[in-house]
Parts: sequence; C-alpha cells; structure tokens
Amino acid sequence: MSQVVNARGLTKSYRGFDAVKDVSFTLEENRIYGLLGRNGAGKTTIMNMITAQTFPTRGELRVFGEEPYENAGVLSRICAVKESQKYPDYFTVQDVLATAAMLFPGWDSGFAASLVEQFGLPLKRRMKKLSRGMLSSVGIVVGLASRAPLTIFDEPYLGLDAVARSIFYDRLMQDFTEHPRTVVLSTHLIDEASPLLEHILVIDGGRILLDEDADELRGRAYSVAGTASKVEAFVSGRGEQTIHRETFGSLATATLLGVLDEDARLQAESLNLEAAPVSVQQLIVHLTNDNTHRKAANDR
Amino acid sequence: MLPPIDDSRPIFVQIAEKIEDDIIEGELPEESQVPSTNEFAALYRINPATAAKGVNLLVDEGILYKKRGVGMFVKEGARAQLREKRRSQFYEQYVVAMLREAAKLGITTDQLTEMIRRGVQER
Amino acid sequence: MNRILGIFRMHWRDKFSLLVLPWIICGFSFVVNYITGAGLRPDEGIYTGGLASLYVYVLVVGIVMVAQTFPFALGMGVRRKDYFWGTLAAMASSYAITAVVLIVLSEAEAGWLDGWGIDLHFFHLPFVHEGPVWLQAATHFALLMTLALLGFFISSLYRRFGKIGLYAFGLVMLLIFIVGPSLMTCFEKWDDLGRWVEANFHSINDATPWLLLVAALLGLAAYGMLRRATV
Repeated sequence: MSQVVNARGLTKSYRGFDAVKDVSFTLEENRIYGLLGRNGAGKTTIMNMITAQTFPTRGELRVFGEEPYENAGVLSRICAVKESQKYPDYFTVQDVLATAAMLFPGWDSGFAASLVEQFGLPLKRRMKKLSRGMLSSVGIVVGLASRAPLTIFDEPYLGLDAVARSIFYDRLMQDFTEHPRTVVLSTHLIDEASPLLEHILVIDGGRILLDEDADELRGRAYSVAGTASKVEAFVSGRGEQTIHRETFGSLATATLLGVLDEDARLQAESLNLEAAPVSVQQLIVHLTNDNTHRKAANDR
Repeated sequence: MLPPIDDSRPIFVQIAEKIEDDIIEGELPEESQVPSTNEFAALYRINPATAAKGVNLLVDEGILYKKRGVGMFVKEGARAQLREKRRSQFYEQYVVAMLREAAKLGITTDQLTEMIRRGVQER
Repeated sequence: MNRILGIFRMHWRDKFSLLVLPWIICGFSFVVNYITGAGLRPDEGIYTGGLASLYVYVLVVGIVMVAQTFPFALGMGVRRKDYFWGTLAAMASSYAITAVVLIVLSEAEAGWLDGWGIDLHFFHLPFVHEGPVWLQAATHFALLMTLALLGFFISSLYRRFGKIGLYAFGLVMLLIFIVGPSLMTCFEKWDDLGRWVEANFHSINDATPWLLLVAALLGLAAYGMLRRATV
C-alpha cells in the first residue's frame, strides 16, 4: 500500500495562535478516511496545506511522495471540495463543470451529467444565484466526477437536505467500489458518515486526538445511567477512564473508556444501572468536548 | 427490511452475523454464492473494506470459501457448524439470562419449567 | 502546458467581459462625446480624451479578473505558475484583438468616416497616431497590457498582503502623485521635464518599448505576489 499523504510534525502558526500543532499522520491509498473534529480544530488548515493553498510553518508534508507546492504532477491528482470555495460570480454551473473537465485529467463527463440530473442542478444559472444547497451540490459533482486519486471533501453538505446527502453517500460508495481512490471526508455529521469510513482521524485544538481504524472505535466506550450514587460506585469499581459525566439531580450518567463485556454488564445490572455501548459520534463528542473543558479549566 | 447498522459495535462483526443468520435461516443454502463485498457496501452503505473484513472473518472460521475469479460461497456443512455454535451460545445468552431474571422475580424452578411447557404447547 | 491552456480557456468562457463590455463602456463615452460635439461644433474640431474610458476599464477588468478567478483556480488545484501564464495569455490575446479594432476605427475615423461628419477626433489623435499603422497598434497593445497588468498586480498584492497591502500601495501612489508633483513645482523642474519628454519622445510610439518594459515588470511583480498568496 503506497502512502498518498505523509505528514510529520506539521505545524501551522498564525500570529497569536497555532492552528495546527505538530501533527503527524499517514494516508494510504484507496481508503476512505474521516477527518473529524470541531469547528476551528484545524481540519481545513490541514487540507489547505495538502493542496498547497497555504503553507506549513514547520514540519514535513509529502503528497504522492513529493511536496505539493507548485507541483503539477501532485496537484493534478488532487481534487479538494471545500464548503467555502469561491466561484467567479458570473460563471454558470456549466462553466464550472466545463472548467473542471479541462483541469482534471480523469474527469468523467457522463458521470457528471448523471449527477447533475440527480441533484437537479440548473446548468445555466449563475453561481452567484445558487442556493447554499445547490452550491454544495456543485462541489460534490466536481469532487465525484473528477475521479482524482486523492479526493477531499471538506464539509461538503452545507445546506443539503437529507435526500441530497443520501444521494451523495450512495454515489460515493458506488463509484468508490468501481473506481477506488483515496477519499478524505471531513464532516461534523459523524453518525451519518461513520459507516462509510474505514479509518478515522480526530483533530482537536490543532492536535491529533485519535488516529484509528473505524471499527476499532466502535464499542470502544460505553455509558451507564441510573442513581447518582450507584453510578459513582460503578465508576470507581471499574477503574476505567471516564470521558463524560452528567448529573441530573439524583440521577447521573457516565461514559467510560472500556468494553462493555459480560462482566461489566453484570456489574451494571447488580447496581440497577442501564448500560449501553456508545456510538462513534458520541465517543468523539465526549472526547473533544471534555478536552476543551479540561483545557479551559487548566488555563484558568 | 434492512437491519440498521449499529455504530456502537464493530460493523464487520455485524456483517458476519447477518451472513450467519441468512445461512442458519436457509436464505443462503450451502454452495450458494454470497453477495460480493461491493454489493454489501452499496446495500448497507458501508465501506467495502469493512464488508470484506466481515466476509474474511467467516472464511477464517470455515463458514465461507473463495472460488477464484467467481466469489465467495457457503461451505458445505456451514449450516450445521453455525447451529452448533449458536447452540452453545444459546445457553449463555438465553438460559442464564432467563434464570437470572427469574431469580430476580422470585420464580421457582418448578414454575419456570411449567412456563416452558406451556410455551411449547402454545407454539 | 495543459493547465495553462485550461486557464486560458476558462477566462475566454466569459467573452462578454473580455471583448464586449470594454466596447460598451467606450461606446457610451463615444456617444456622449458625439452628442456634445455635434452640439458645440467648434472650428478647430473636437479632440477628446474619451478613449481613456476604455483604458480605465481595462485596468478594472485586470483587477476583477484576478480577484474572481484566482481563488477558484487554486481551489481547482491549478499551480500559481500556470494560472499566471494562462491569465496573461488570455489578456494578451484579448487586447491584441482590441488593439487591432482600435486601429481600424482610428484609420476609419481619419479616412472615409471623416471625423464622423463633425470633425470629431475620438479614435484618431495626433501626437498619438503617427508613424506606421503596425507601430500604432503595438502602442495601443502596450498601453492596454500595461493597464491590465497593473490591475493584475493590484489584485495579486491584495491576495498576498490583504487590505494592508492595498493601503500601503495606495499610500505609495499618493506620495508619488502628490508629493512628486509638489516637489517638481517647488524646484521648478516642470520645464526640464517638458524639454526632456520633447527631446526623447516625438510621439507616444517612442514610449512603446518602455511601456512594454513597465508591463513586464508589473507582470513579474504580480507573479512574485501570487507565489506566496494563500487562499
């Protein structure tokens, strides 16, 4: 498996703060990656560095084995769709697609045409006049039809309704099986996208929090709920790391980093607690949410 | 009716379980072809690699085998093998749990046996 | 090479802004001048600088073209180098056509149109239109390119340094165009300047190579800005 992206100690500093701090990771070819994290965590900055739209302050970044800056061989193999992409005001949807056809070597016009139809995009309308959802759809069409060996979707569905998102997932999976390539999907709709992802990277506060196989994360944590005192007893008894706690009067819930095995189930039952494994989204939310609170508490 | 994918358990395990269920229920008879990983991926909207992992799990357990260039097939004796496995799991999963609950509710062994007998008659 | 062509064709998708709009602006200016001239009818004929509207518009196009298309091109994975050459080629091809049209109109005005019937000198101006026709066309082209590349430079400056860059540029321009002439007046250098221009430039055509040089420098500066511009 060759490495499509290799980042070592990647840092991006702006005056006053570090958007990306000492980030190292590898992306292998023909896999679907999830790049997850809160707004402002550094996801977009990392993606912009991969496409040489911005430059690292420190560290090494290799894409297809080379530095991406002003590198035609590398850049022509990347298609990055971002939510904030600006299009020339006077361009129509057709102009954008025609330009994409001229710039991406692997462009499939037939595929693009069928996607345009499915999303119901008005070809002759100016980009300036498109709704937020249609603007996102154009980005998705470009991203999918480009068939670029490295395709990046950065929050691609702003304004897209559930039906359109469904179309996106379906066409993505279909095309991925027929034309495998490396896909990076950055999103905060983790639950929806999670089953599609093979590997998940979580960025928080500019650093990598998690870098694991998606299936490894499923069932990695579980939560218990019930009377507050019993929950406390359970938690101290287990000795596993708690990543989330909430109290509602006399009731409480806690999320623990551990596997909900038979032993744990019995213990919970004996204390009259509800126990259930936690979804990937909840796991990530707790890890990133409480990370922020912990940092804020430390800063004070 | 497609069972929803549970995101709190490894998906490849769920795929393996789904195939196992189909074999036990007779949906997938022995020597029949199992849907390809791409078909699973498209159907359940999951990553093909995950589907492949689930299939490979069953290959390792001797439930499925690969015919080069054609696809994955149900091995002869798979159904019997799976039923055996499920039978030993049955005790832990159902019987022990039932006894625990019965104990909680104060149901005696005799009452329990009577319930089972009634259940068999009513089926 | 492919991507330079891609950018070139991308710009040409908007034929309206590149070829038609400048002439609409120019045409508007012409109509105003024609009506005024027809009304006034001075004896020595009407010499108007209305053509300047075309050139000013070209400057604006240069700024807008880059502002609108650069972020888009970068987003499509185009190299800054390819973007620069593709845009330069689009500008050059468009303004080469414009220069030819200007010369045709200029010759027509002086010749068979006879000053549009009212001795209006809009396209054909003495001191400007001397020398062989091809040289006149070259001069127009050089002037158009200089303005277009000035626009390119201004946009690139903004992309590289943001608003601060533009303010700094504005400040520098202010200094040159206000402080400069003030100093000239102070030291009474205007006569010297006038004599120098007269000695060296018999017509605007003599300035052509210098214009091309300025255009090239602006292009170089613009490219330098784009190289480190981020989105």
